[in-house]
Amino acid sequence: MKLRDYIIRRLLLAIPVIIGVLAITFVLSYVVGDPITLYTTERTRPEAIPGIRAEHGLNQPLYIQFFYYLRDLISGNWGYSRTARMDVTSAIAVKLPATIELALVAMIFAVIVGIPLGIISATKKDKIADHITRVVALAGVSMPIFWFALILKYVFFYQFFTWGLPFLPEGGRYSYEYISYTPITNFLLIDSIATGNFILFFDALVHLVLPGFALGYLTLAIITRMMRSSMLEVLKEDYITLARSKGLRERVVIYKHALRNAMIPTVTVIGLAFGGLMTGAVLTESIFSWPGLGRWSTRAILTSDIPSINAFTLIVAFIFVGANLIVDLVYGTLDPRIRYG
Amino acid sequence: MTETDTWGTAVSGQTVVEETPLALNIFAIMQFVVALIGIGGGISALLASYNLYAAETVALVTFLGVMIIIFLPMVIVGYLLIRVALAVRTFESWSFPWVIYGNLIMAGLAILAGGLVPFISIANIVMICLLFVPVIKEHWWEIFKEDMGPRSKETKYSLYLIRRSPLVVAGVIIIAAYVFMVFFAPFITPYGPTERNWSQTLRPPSAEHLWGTDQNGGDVFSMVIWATQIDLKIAVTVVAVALIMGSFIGASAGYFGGALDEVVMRITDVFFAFPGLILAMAIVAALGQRNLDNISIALMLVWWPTYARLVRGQVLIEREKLYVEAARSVGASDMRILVFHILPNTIQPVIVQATLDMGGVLLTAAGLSFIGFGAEAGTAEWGLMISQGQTHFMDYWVTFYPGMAILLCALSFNLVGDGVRDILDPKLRRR
Repeated sequence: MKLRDYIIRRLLLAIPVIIGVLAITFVLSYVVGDPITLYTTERTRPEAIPGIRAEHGLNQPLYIQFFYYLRDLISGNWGYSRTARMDVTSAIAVKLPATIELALVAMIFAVIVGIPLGIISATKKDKIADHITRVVALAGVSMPIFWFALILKYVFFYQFFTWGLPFLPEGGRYSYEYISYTPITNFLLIDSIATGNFILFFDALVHLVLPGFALGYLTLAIITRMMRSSMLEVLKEDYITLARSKGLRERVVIYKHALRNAMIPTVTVIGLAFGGLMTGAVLTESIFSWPGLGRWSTRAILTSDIPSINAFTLIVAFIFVGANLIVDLVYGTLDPRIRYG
Repeated sequence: MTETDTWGTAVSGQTVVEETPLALNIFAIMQFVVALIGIGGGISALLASYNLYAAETVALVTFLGVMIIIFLPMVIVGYLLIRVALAVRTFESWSFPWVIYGNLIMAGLAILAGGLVPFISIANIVMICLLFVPVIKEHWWEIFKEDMGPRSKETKYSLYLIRRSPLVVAGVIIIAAYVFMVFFAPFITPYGPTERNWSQTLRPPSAEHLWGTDQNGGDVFSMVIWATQIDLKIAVTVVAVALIMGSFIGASAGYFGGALDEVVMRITDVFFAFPGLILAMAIVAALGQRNLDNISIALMLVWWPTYARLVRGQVLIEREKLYVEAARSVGASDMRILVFHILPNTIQPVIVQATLDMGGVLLTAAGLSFIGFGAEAGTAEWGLMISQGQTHFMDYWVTFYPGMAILLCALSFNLVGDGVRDILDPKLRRR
């Protein structure tokens, strides 16, 4: 199969998944919950409700309602969020960048640290370094992320503060001095660089350390474990023995011959880890008062704010499906065997 | 409970001393019943011996019946014992545990009396066996040995490897410790799960409160141990239901293939498009009520596709093998082939996955509970304890210990799952 055909096939396969995702969110908010909450605000008069029901087709049979639901989604009418006190779409525009920024920082940290750790662990199998790395990775997979965040906050904010050491901020995206900051893209790091405000950039970076570390640790653990096992697998291959017998230096064997092939499964895991980061954001953002999707959604849940939950679930699913799609495409490009699968 | 009655009160409300003769009588009657069943079973098996299968069936049913009668009272007594201790711990002030000691003695007597029963029933069983030794030896044992020979050898070797792996052993020990805590929480905790001392909030760890007290004056040590009951129950039920549901669906999809397979796989695709916690969140939010049962339901719905995929893949591999062809050619039905021939051969990866998922479900359930789903405020549940203590993170003991409990529990399941996977994979271990 040609690469182009593979890409087309893979894109087509994503369509039923997206329809399924929409169907599930539809069922959850229309069938299990009361869909009227999608279109009302706290200021809606009770007399107006029958009119709204008719306008959005809520008196119609379910399959017709599904089309109304799709129409509203496509036309950008995602409802009103009681928690954020604005339209869901504008709430997303504000909160999504905050979460993406955090997730990307966590991901970069996890990749930069995780891949070398995995390589070390595999090349020094059953040595001290390997044991330590495995324990670190296993702890990361078994750790409740919200608890880890609290412990980090206790040590690096509270204890460092009481010991008189330079401590890290306990939460938020920037310090109070910059409260007058007016967002352009809501990506704080990009905004501050673009406006040449390097103090704000540094401040934002410092605020990212704890949440980024807490969020990235799980991903780090997953990447390390995957890297280790795929590296071990590859190191057993014949071409590695051949490379060694040709007298190549171990360094060259590992980084030139083994690493490239061992990276393929790791790339998949990195893509899948995006879902983990979104999950982690839900659990850590409220601890660090991070004004992102996660904190919004947890608040929305506690007040049964269906439109916000609906939007959040959809966005996360789309990000997740998109990440998987990209991974599959990258995978198909890297490894021609996949295309014939 | 009065001062004069140092034996304590039994569940019935009477004193233990008064209850004891009755208990002994009950067990005497039971011995008689067991003996009757044993002798009756033996004779009817003898009479039925012209038909081998009938005789075997009678002998087996008798054996099982006797066993149930022997063990049931022990289980009941143990259960009552825990119930009594629970009642004492939750509703009465903690002065001196006469009641528990009294009931312990009572239970001890009961088990002792019950212990006589096996001797009689074993005598019966021996009688039955003696009559049927030739039959059993010729037919059952030989077939069993032939069937199970390679398998038992393999199992023995696996167990040997597991014993030699320190990490797996460590995991098993920790899990055993948690199971111990589930059953013996009343005896190892100094306070009840909902006991509060409002005058002693946020006290640091001391001799009186081993791990300090939380913001409501609850004893953190006791609450963490009581919480094992709730959290492990969720993990076990979710994994068990998801495993059965998923295996059934996946096995059918893999075996019958075609449109069914396609539909099931597309449905699992959709479920995999959501991260687990997010989908569970949406489901619980839609269900409306926030309680532990809804958390369990949501997690079951989230977890079954994993098993469906796994079992389907295994079934696809096994389906093509020669032994399935052989079974089909003898005329075995689809259901029989699937349940008795294919599924037993797919069980190993499923068990490994289930072990690993115990940790995952535990973490996700704790996460949901942390967000604010799940148990009502004040319940001893790990996620909730951390959630409610998070504003008091400066007093580390409020959140540290429940978190450690989650971490260790998930860690031990991961250790066992990882280790067993490596061991059971014949490709890996023969090298």
